Amino acid sequence: MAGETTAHLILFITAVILASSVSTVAFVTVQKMAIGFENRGNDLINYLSTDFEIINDPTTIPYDNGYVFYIKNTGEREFPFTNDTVTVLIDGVVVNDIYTTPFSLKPGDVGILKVNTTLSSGDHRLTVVLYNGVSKSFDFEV
Amino acid sequence: MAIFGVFLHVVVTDLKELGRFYRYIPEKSKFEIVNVYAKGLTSNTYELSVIVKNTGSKTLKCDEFSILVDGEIVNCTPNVTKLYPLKSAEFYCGEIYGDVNSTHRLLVVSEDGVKVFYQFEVR
Repeated sequence: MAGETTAHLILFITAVILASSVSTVAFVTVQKMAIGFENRGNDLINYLSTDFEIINDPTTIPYDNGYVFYIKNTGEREFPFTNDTVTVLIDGVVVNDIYTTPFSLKPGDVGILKVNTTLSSGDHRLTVVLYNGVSKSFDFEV
Repeated sequence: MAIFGVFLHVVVTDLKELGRFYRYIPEKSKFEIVNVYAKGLTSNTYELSVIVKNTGSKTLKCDEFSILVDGEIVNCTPNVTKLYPLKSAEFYCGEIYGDVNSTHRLLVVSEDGVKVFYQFEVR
């Protein structure tokens, strides 16, 4: 009788330990999934609410120690506007010698991007990529 | 069950937030340059005023317009802060270099990046 009770008790304790282990693993997994989903969602919201336009006149690009392009924040949130956060390509080639001002652009603000490179006369394409991957291209002539 | 409830709540909240963005396709601004006054001040300068009419149904913020003359940004002062549908605003751009009878390219850009070009002659 006593042996049977002990066996039941052992079985019960084992079942409780197993159930709690399984629920702990499930909780951790679900929590990780929820955090990952939330992070991805925030990234997507950030991407969707960031927007800008290159507002130059494509036939008349000013030159002042580099070609001057005007970048207007047409999105809903401020974005950083520095040499480290902006990637510039002209005709598909990255140009590292750039100057940007101001440091960040609020919605509606216009920033100056100077690209110090030599361009042959004719048609060219400027591509500007922001820190979060939002990019715009602009065809112009020199 | 409680764990899955929390997970479902997070998922539903995020989906609602994303859905808000997908539903919200902002209406683009629509406007016209109805007149440009470019009057010579000296032999090589002129004063510029641009009249813009809102032809869309969205109210536009005048201080977020950008104006370029011959490719360069010029600072212009609007006479109103908001440009309501079917209303016009005057942007006074002050003194700009340019000879009398010379022609120039004007570009007006609204807050959401809509561009309108115009060509004018200094009188």
